[in-house]
Order: sequence, then structure tokens, then C-alpha cells
Amino acid sequence: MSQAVPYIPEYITVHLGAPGTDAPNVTVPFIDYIKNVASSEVYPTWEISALRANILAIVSFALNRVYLDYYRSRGYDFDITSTTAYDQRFVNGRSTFDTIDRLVDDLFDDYLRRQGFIEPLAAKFCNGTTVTCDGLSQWGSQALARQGYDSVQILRTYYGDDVEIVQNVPSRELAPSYPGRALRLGDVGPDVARVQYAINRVSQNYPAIPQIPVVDGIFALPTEQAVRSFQTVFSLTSDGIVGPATWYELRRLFVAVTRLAELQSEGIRLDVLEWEYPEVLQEGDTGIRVEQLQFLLEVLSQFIDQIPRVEINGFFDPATKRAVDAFQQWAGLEQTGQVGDVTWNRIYDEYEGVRDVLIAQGELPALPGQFPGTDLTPGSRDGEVT
Amino acid sequence: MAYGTLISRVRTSDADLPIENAAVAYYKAAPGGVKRLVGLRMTDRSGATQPISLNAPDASASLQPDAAGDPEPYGVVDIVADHPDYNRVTVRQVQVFDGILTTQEIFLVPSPGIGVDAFPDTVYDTPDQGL
Repeated sequence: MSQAVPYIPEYITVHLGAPGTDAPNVTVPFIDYIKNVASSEVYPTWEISALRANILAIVSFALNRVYLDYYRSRGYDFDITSTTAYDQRFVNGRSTFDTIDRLVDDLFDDYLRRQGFIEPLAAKFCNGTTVTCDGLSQWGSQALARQGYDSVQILRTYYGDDVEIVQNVPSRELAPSYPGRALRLGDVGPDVARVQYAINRVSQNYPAIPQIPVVDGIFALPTEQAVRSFQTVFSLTSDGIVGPATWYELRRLFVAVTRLAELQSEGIRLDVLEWEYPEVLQEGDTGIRVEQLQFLLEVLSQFIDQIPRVEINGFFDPATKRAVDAFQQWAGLEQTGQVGDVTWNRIYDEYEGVRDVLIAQGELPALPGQFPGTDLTPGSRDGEVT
Repeated sequence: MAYGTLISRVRTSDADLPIENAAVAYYKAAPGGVKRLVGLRMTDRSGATQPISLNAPDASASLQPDAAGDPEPYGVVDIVADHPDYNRVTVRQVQVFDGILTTQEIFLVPSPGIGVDAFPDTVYDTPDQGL
């Protein structure tokens, strides 16, 4: 067991099939996972109390799997599966619904447990019509909601009177963690400054989000307007208040764009060698060629969610092999776990496509002689003009 | 006939970098097994489309279990997101409910470098809820 007290993971890795099958994994933000599952399990038109009860059951079930290392302790490299035969329904790439999204923003850091217990409840559920189970009936919850039951009454009907809701569960991730209370107009302090700094960074990619003129730790009107814009762009409740959902989304994006910048530095360091195919690379190999391979895979992992993250350490370790396997599966190549010329060249070709996009997005400087991605006009400045 | 609303957000990478000027086409099944274009939107600088309204069964159809053979209580539409610098993505059977805003996030992977065979379309299917 990885941690004594349950936490909200920032990401969760989902196996898109039954355990033991040769299906890909995808790693997605936990809050997006919950929105996906809830949208895949119930209808968004249902009574609010029914939706709340179902979402709490979904969060609890997922946290139970994570808390107990249910699959990882059995040797798998994922946290949960997408199949209802084993877990709850996750549909990779599907849409979500506004009623469900808003509730998940409010409930993703709450879970169910039995009084006197620590672990999140493994809250089983089924549709209650064609399938019945020792747990929540989805259609039954909707019927109870229409009779006026609130979400707690619904949950206790199915899981027992000793079920309680734990709220505002912390995230496990490194600082800065959520300050414990919502930030809003009039607040002052370093947490406000962190929000301002992160929003200004994200707004570089999203011009619709206004820059906050001064990062001063004072939550004044410009900050509130920027927060509202951020929330609108990212489909959060646009209230200008930084609650857990807004905080975590902002931090996730900030970490991600920062990671892209770090990778830029890694790429420059590794540019001392040519990028042509060197020789077959396989598990156990070491050296800068392995570092180059890991760099390429790590960049691609930022764009292709089936490819797991890789540490750039120069050791062709099992994690690197898993990433090679995943790339080969994604690209339709033979899954050998080794990197021969076909795999190397394909990885590099994909990286070139990514690099061109990053240059066009302004995340990387243009290559010498390359079009900078924007038309140059009178008044253009900075790196656009040389 | 009631209707619901659908927006698409087209992005790339874990950093959710927005993709501007992606073409997002909406298709519905038509008689004869063909697809009929019912809407076309371009993404703005945040990677989002303007909303599109689509027909959907009345919300009451989804509030209680249906009988065997009843139609699903939502409308469906296929979405194709396309941009010259990225691999194309299709999402099939996207659900539209009466009075509900559906958000379809579409993450595109950059096309590989010049000289590489085009990557086949990535297709996502949306199964029913099992209710």
C-alpha cells in the first residue's frame, strides 16, 4: 500500500480492456476520468441527487482501486480497467455533459467510506434492471431521487447507514497543493500570487485569457476576470473563484507547459550527437543514445496518451521498454520492445511533427531559416525578427 | 422535437495547447447508409467551436427505464476534426440529450515529418450507457 491516508491522484492510468489482455493503457487526469465514467454510466438528464450519488460511488470505487494498489500489487502497470466486468465503464475519447461536469468539479475530491474505516468504499453499482448487484441500483437511485431522496439518503439505502462522505481529500502531488479554502476577490497572499503566475503562463497559449498586469498576490478585479476567462475556456464553473477544480486544472496545465520547456533544454543538451539511427537498442543498454531515445519517447508521451512517461536517465530499463512497446503498438509496428532502424526512424519522424507544432505554437524557437509561424508585420518584435 | 447543444474543443498535448482553425464537421446518419453533413465549424484561438444545436428525443425519454426495442433516449452525431498539421480524428455516435450541453474534447497528434505515410484516422466510438 503506497500511502496510509487516501489521496486524490492527479492522474490515473486506465487499461482499455480486461486485465491480462493486450490492450493499451491511457493516463488521464483523475477529474477527467470521473467525468468520463459518470457520462458513460448514467444519463445527464437525471435528478441532481441521483447524479451526485452515482458520482460519489464512482469516485469511491476508483479511489479504492488506487488506495489498495489493486492492480499494481498484482503486477499490472495500470490502476484500473475500462470494463464493467471488472471495474467501471470508461470510454476513451468520449464526450461529457455539462450537468455531470459541474457536479464532478464539486465532488471529485469527496469519497464514501464506512464509519471507523479509512479506505474508500469499493462502491459497486449496476443498472438495476437488466443487471442487479449487491450495491447501488442506477435506475433505483433515479427513482429515489424523484421521490425526494437526497444523495446521502440514496447512498445509505444501498450501502448501509454506516456510510459517510469524506470531503476535500488532499492531492498527493507536490507543492503547491490546494490551500484548503477557495481563493476569491479580496484575498491576499502567496497562494494568490501562484494563481496569478500560473494564469499568466497559461494565457501565453490562450490569448482569450487576459494577462494579469501585476503578479502581486492581491486578488483584485483583473485576477477575477482572468480566472473567469480561464474557467470558461476550460469548461469550469465560471464564478471567478479558485476552488479545488480550478486550482488543480490550473496547476496541471502549468506543470505540463513547464515540462515542455524542460524538455526543450534536454533536447538541446542531447543535440551534441546526430539523431540518425545508431544501432539496435534494447533493455539493459546504457548511454547517451538511450538518453536520446528516452527524450524522444518522453516528448511523444506529452502528445500521445497511450505512451507512458519515461525518465531520461540513460538506462534502457523496464519503463523504457514499456514505452517502446506502447509506441510500437500505437504506430502499428511489430511489438518487440527493441529499437531497430524502423522503430527509431518512426519515433524520430513523429518527433519531427511534434517539434514543428511546438515551433508554430511558440513553445520552441524556430529553426534557422524556418518560417516562425506568424506573419511578420511592422511592429513585430522579439524572436520573430532577426 | 427537442434539442441539445454540442461544442468541440480541439487541442494537443498534455498541456492542452489549443489548435486554431481546425475544421470540425458534424455528420448524422441518413437513409441508405450515408452520412449527411449537418454542421461545420472552425475552432477559435482557444481551440473551441461555436455551439451547434442538434435534435434529440425529449428529456422525459431518459428519466425512466425504456422498454425493449425503444430507441435510445438521445440523438447521435459523428464528429470529424481535421487540421493539415495533425492526424485526423473521428468520434462516432456522440450523444446529444435534450437541454444538455455536450462537450467533446478532441486531442490531435501532430502529423509526422515530411515523407512519412499518412497516419490512418484515429476513430473513437461512443457506446451506450448500458442502462
